[in-house]
Amino acid sequence: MLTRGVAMTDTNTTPNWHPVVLPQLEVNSERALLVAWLVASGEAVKKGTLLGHWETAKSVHEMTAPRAGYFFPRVAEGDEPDFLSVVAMIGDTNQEPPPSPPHRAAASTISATRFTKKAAGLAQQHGLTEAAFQKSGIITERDVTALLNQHSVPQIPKTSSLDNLRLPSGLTRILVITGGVGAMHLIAILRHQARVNVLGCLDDAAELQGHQLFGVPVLGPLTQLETRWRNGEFDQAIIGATADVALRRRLFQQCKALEIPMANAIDPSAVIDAGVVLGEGNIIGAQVHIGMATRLGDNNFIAAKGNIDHHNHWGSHILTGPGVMSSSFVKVGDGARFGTGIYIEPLVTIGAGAVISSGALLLGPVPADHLVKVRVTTETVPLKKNS
Amino acid sequence: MTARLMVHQINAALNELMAEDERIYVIGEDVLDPYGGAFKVTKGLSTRFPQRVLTTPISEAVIVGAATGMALRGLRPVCEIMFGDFLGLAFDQILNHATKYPLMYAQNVPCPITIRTPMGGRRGYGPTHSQSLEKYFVGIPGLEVTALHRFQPVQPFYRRALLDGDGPSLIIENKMMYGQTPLAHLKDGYDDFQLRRHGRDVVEAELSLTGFAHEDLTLITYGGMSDLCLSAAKQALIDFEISANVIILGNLSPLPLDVLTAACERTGRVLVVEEGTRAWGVGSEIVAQLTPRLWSRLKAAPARVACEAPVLPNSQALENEFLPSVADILQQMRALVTA
Repeated sequence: MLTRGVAMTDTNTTPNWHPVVLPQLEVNSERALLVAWLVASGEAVKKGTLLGHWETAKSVHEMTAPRAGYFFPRVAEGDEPDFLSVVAMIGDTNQEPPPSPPHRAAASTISATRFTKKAAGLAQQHGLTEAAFQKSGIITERDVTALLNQHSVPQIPKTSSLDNLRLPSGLTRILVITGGVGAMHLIAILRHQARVNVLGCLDDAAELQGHQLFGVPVLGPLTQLETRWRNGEFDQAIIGATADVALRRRLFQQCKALEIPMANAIDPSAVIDAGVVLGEGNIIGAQVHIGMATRLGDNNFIAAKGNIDHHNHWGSHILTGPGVMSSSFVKVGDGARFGTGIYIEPLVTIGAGAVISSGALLLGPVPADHLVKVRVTTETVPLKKNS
Repeated sequence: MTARLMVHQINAALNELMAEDERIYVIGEDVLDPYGGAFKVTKGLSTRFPQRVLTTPISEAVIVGAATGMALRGLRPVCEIMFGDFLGLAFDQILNHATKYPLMYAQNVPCPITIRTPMGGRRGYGPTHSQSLEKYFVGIPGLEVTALHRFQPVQPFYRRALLDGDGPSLIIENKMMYGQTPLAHLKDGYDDFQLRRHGRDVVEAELSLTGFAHEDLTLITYGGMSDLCLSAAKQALIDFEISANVIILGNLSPLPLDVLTAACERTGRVLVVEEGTRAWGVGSEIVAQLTPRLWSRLKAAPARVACEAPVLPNSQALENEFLPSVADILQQMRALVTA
């Protein structure tokens, strides 16, 4: 006989079922394939009744009943259970046994962790749980950092106490294109200008519809631009987006295709020196200085504290962060983008589409479509132990 | 019986192809029912196709030699070599006969013979039944060598070898894989990995935990080391924030160099993992062929993990000590990113 029944430990429940264990049929295999059961489920068997045929790498083995009773299979024909696992039950009555506990999960070498160790630490530090991540698979340190950066983008309130800010009711009606943070910045500058009336903003983002930016409403999507222009609802437009050169350029071109004149928004604290030539659609932030005889194209955004010294020649669609300090005779091509706190030596030429990282010190020319990388190492360490 | 495991799917593929084309013969030792082959790959074939399943005496030279003659006369024989370790006995037939006919006669004499054989250890079968000997065959001119893996659709893989080619083909089937579930049905993900397949009938599987971006290194492997590489990749990410993409090869010779180059260019760091012995290994050739293509992109010298033991012990516990482990792969991964 090839099988051995292992009696279950005695319990008070009746009836009793006794497991039939698949023996270790060979030393060279770990499991056997059930070719066929020869007894139907629930059928009465005697001790020694032939129950089924098992196939291993070397041969086919017979399995006989270890005791008399009613036969209930636990595996199906074609299954290949491990040796020493329970393959059937023999009951004292013909009552079906309760379902067996789920199979011991196949020893998976792959664990079920969701966070990497570093990510788990970082997430815990910032109170983030798995639910905060819209991602399947493993959450890495990069994922956590990305989420934290995303959170650091300011959430614009739908309305605010600043809605009651008095805007001038002037002569020029201005439409602001886009309605996000950049537009807010722009409106804050325009409110100083006595002769303009900010009509509203157009933005495609669904979540911005109905927002008020300092009392200026988001009127609807950009598709309304042409209609509102043809209806004569505004005199000039200006673009609020200040983070994306390509977007700013595209929106500008859209306006120019409709021949819409573009307004300049210049903070009253800015100093525009003698002989400066300014294009249209520019935003000049607080305490910006534009030096003598400098020429600036269209649709630029010069953030607060910027200095564009004398005899500079800057193109169009240029974006700067705060505190970009250019010396004299600097040339900047269209669509260049500057980070924060950048110093530029005299006579330097910066090509179109160049990207200059924060903190750069430019001593020589930057070719078009090149990135100036800055290697700064800063490290934040706790002042006290265990903090 | 459903095709639940890899062995069932190989069997089903042979069944289908034999029914479809009368030129296919199966020839090998103990392949007849009821035994149906040592690993049961040929189970049922001799009952269904009694004239076309031929059992032979214990002579691998006869198996491959007779099959070569059959192939020269227009048949499409499939040889089963019971253990890959026994391929040595057929080496002359492969090197000097089967592969030579198409080459000597400028491809005018086809010799479409397929040789299937199980390779690999971790079953405690001892020194002469556990080896990974494909490295002695990948260098034979005119011999195509492929390795089956779980992400590989099985039927097209065998169809291509048995029916599409005109030259000799050697198929490496890992022993452990026979008892594993196929993963060919998975489209684009497995466990936490994203999955891509490259190629048509014989495919390379590429897996990444980080969306095929931001990876630090590329693991190249095949056969029995595939699962270990996936485990190591996962552990490396979780414990050390080291991200790897894993390429599981279907083609061993010739190598899918374009696929490998693309996968390695992203990372600039290459680790080739194999179960066979280290010197003059499959990995040596992969590194040799890839290095010139990657030269300017490499951030570190390509590294290898392979079996360091000259012979495998009988005891399964000892065998597992000697064969390359997840820890070995992990150690090399860490060394590569800090190199």
